[in-house]
Amino acid sequence: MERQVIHLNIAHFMAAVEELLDPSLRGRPFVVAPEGAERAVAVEVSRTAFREGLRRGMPLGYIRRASPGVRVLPVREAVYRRAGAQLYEIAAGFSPLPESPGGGHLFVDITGTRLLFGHPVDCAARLREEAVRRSGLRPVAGLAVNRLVSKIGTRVVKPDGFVVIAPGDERGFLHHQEVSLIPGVGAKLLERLGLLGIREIGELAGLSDADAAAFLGRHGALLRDRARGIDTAAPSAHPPGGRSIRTSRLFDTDTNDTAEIEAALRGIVEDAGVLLRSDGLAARRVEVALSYSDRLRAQGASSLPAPSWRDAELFEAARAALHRGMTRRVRVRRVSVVLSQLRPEARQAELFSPPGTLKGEALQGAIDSIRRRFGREAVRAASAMRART
Amino acid sequence: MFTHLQTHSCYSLLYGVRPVDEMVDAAAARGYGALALTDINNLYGMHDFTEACSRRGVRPVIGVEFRTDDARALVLARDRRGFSRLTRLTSARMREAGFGLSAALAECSDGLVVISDTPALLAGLNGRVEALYAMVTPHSRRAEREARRLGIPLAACGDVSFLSEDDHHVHRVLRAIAARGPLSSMRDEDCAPPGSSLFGPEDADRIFGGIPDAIASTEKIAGMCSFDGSFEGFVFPPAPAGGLVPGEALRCAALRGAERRYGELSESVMERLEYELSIIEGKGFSSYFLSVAGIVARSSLTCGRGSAAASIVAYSLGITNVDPLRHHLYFERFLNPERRDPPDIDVDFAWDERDALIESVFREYGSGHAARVSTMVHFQARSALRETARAYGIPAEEIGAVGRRLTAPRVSGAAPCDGRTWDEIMRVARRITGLPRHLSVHVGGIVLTPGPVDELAPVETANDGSTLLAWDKDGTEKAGLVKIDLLGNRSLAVVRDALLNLRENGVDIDPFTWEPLTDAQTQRLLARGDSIGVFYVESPAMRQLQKKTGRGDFEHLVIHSSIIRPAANRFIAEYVRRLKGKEYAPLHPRLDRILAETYGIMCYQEDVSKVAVALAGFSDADADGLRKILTKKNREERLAAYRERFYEGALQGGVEAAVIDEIWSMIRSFGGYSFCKAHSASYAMVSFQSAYLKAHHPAEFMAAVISNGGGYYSSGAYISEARRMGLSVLAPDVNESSLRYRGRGREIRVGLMAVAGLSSPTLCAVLETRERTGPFGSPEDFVARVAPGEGDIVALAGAGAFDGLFCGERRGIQLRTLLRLLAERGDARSPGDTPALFAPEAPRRTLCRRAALSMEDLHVEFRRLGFLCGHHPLELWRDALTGLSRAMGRDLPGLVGKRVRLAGWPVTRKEILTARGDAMEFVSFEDETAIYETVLFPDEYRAYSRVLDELRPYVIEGTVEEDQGATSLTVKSIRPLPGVKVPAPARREPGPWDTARYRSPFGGG
Repeated sequence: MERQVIHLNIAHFMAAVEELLDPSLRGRPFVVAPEGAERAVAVEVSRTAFREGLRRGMPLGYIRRASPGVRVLPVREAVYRRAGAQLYEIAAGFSPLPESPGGGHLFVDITGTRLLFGHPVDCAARLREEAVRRSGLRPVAGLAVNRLVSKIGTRVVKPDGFVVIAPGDERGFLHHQEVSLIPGVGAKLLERLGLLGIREIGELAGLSDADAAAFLGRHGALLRDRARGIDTAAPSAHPPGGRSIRTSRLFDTDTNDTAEIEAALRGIVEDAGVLLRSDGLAARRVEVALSYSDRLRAQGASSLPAPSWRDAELFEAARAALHRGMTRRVRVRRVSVVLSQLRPEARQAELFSPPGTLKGEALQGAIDSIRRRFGREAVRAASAMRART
Repeated sequence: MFTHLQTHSCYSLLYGVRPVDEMVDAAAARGYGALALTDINNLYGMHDFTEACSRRGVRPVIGVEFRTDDARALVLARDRRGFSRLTRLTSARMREAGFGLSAALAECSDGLVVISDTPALLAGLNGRVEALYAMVTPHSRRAEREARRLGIPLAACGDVSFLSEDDHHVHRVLRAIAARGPLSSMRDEDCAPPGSSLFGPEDADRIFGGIPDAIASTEKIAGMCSFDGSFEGFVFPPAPAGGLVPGEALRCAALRGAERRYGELSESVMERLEYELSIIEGKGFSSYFLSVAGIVARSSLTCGRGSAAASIVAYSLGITNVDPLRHHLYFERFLNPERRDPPDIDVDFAWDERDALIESVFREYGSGHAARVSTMVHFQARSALRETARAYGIPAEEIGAVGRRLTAPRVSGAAPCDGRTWDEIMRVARRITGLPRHLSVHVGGIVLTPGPVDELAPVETANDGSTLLAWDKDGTEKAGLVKIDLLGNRSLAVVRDALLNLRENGVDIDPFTWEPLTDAQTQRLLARGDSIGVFYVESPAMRQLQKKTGRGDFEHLVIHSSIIRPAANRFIAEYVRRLKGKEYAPLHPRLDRILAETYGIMCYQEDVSKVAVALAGFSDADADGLRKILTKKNREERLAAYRERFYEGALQGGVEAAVIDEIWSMIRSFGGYSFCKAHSASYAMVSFQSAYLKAHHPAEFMAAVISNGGGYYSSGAYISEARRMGLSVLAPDVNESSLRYRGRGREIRVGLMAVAGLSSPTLCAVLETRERTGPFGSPEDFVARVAPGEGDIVALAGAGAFDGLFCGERRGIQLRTLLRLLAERGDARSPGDTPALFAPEAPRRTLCRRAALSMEDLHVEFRRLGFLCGHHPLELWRDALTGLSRAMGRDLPGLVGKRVRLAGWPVTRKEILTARGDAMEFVSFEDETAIYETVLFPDEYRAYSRVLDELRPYVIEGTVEEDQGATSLTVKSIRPLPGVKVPAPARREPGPWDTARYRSPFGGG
């Protein structure tokens, strides 16, 4: 059976959502950034702002100097989350396996749905129409035999349009496109390809195994295969057994104050803990990822001796992971925590728990019930409060 | 009365926050009659301290606060012997990994006072150190109990680091910088306590209430310490081995040398020799001259600099190369019976020979008797901002952006607003600016001592393992140590390499009999200002001056290289007018003779002294003092005193006030830097040598200039100059190129050193393989014999180094072929790789046409080399230039008064401040035909200077102006030439030939 994957992409996702909510913003340059923070950076820029040279991650101070008239909108994460969820829901009506890598991208595998939804091209068109009709957002859409080709397709027609690459047409479609459109081709690779006189995807696709390896190194053959439209990766929305829980905190003003970062970490560990316990799970592994102000990333990981669902234990592991990962003195913009190696929680197994543990367990239960009734912010560890002030 | 015995200045590096003189001022203001400076583990601030104390009438106590992992003690010098012990201890602390404070003090503490708050140290030293005290401070009395038990007297110490409340925050930032950690994570124990300020004597009673004996001890200790940091006499290098006493040995050597220089010795030569020798011997300088002569003899080509070039003894010994009799150079500027400070001899060596030379001197004298002079690196505005911002966690990119904006000359009154954090960073950075940062090695200063050097001065170990004096050149001088400056000079290497290149091409020039001064072609080249690449006269300002004067003879070149000073613009213009025949009257009849050869304008450093003597009745020593102070950084206060005396003396001598004003303003124009005639003459000799080579052997000369890293301009600018001179620049080639650029006839072959991304091992392999087994016959042959890395292949192919081997193939195809060969070779290489059965195929050497280069090829070539071999870089903007109506640079002299548009690639820029303090800029641009000079006056500077920051060509519009025969463009507007942005040239991996430690393959030295 021929696989068929639709790629939907909403360029400048957050800005697109804002424009949807306030149509007067359309066609105007604006950026989305934390309000009132001293050292905020743009987390999104509108299409018009992008054309004027503004980019994500630029400090707000710089943006204001460079484009004095630009409007700054506050970050409304909940709103973007809702918009993303709505798109996902629409896609879920067409496929059991929509995959959402975030940032306004959505892959929908409609393989084998012909009987249900008709010809794949009609199906894709309908999905796009439905997305436009129900969400108001206007995604660019690509339909092809796999994620790779559909993604290259949307890159070609961006920022607006619908492209169909029929099975068997992949090589013809890709042949005269620029090599820079292939996912994974960065500045360095592009320079090498330029030296070799390779500018179009077709020239890359024509390399033999030996030439691909000789010209481009170890991953040359893989890159050549991509140029041929070959994508072996399966959509991986829910890899079995690999589920994880992720929470993060974006600092309005970046910081390198360890105490402040730890306080924020405690907050997001508690948030993750709530999700963990609400699913009746315990985690064995805690990863902490840092995003520095200069956009470099770092991470540290820590394993617990046994799966745990208690905030205190999770936080201690997270703190150890943080200190493993935080080796620079540059300010941190975002801190995230990922709980993984999840197992069903096994509270009953601990028959001979020391009295302290039971007390802690009772406390954790009480806190969770308060949060269930009054919301996450209703009760916090005192040490997590610092970051909020 | 209480006396502060524990004070840290900013010389407690990245700890103290206040300059020494502020600490002394504060102590004097609070009524203290004595003060100890005890910086942590060093004596860096000692000379500043004694000087500040003598100005403020405070008695200095010299000491060090030793800190080790487990102990701390203040060690104060009681007398000269104690000071020697202190320098040895300080040296050991800085140099020995396992330094033990207790053992070192127990071994010998003669002439020292020791005050410690480490109980174990006190217990260990009790009874072994004569003057031992237990330290109590406002923050700690931890030693009190142990001291009472052992019967050791207490001494009250202030533990002073600050003068105001704000100092503590600055201190914490410095500690964060030292720890390379974030400011927010600095722990209290890593910092001085917040209240470590200098308190007055009245506060001492309150602070040390209950222990009056501890306060009384301070006065007693201060009284014991009589050493005030002054030194007597000079310390000269040891006399060279041999039977003769230094004076006799010098006389013999000088006479022998003079005969070599002059042949038969005339009466005037003998008279001058005898006169100089008598003064040298009288002042004890004989062994010093002999040492320098011994060092100079090790090198092929040298150039004496400074006032020593006026000495016939130095000339005879080969230390200098200009005949002082022929060029009227006065010995007294160098050495005279009255001069109190030690004059030093400075010699230039080829830059790439200098380090090896210094090493050989150290080997001969032994590292215990030789040391390099240090220089203290201070925080500059930019580094202070960068380091402070890092401590605050600001990423590098943001620091760079804000830093560039802030440190650009003031263009408007508005302060840039970057938020509270940056406000605070800037406030702290301003405080940190000017504080000492770390000790570094002075470029060429060394001292040679008869006794162990660490008994005379504190020493450390430099990164390269050599012994380093912990004082800078001023401190070294104050301690009476006579230094020798061995400095690196690229132009000496240029001359050396050009001569060797010529010898390979069959032209032999003997440097010792060479007479470039009288060569007409050389003089004409200099008179035209065609001197790009020529030592010392290649800057735009100097070339403009040459053009304006139209003089290329030696005597005028000596004047020009002296008169070009930042503060002398007004006098330069007047000089040119007088040179061209303007009538003038001497400033004063008494100056007529002194300034006759420089058209009545003060030009040389010694003119300042001569004028002060002739006009204001200064003694020689005072006049010399005035000359010296003009070159110092913090001169204003002392200069004001000289000014008063100058006016007073001149008025008494009947000079009119207006004339004195004019003369004083001329004297002021010597501020910053200026030269004596001997120095200028010595340098002008090298200028003439290089100008001669440029005039007669342009390819060899320009090849040597570029190989040695050029001077004022980038390689690209020299390549353009070479092309304008009608030379062909040939791309690097694996079969034809040497390491360096080589010239022959009308061609320059680019050296492999120019190829960015080519690794040193492969570069060496290419040269050695070719040398051993002949040229490469094919790409296969190259890959098999050199075994290059992939990056090397990419670099060489991009630079065009395989064009010859591939006979006209496109570079993309060349690269594909080579990478395939490389991959096959990698596959074929297996254990037991057997040697080839057949000899490599015979070299295929055919003359082939170079393939036409695509625009992409040109971009890659530019990235690899930093220039294009066959084209001006403007070629990269071919499309944008098509259809642009513009004038060409070479035509400007014919367009005077017209408004024109030009395309130009920026070559050099120089910002200056106008008399009113507004920034303006001189920018040199080049197009395909010429380099041309432009001026951005303050309005245009404000509007366009920042536009020029990118590496790309620009369209410049303005009016052509002419001044005394030199043309320039007064800019009205500048805009970038539209088109692709060219990637910055790739960074070339530094090879061994980039360091001064490298011995040139051409030999020499």
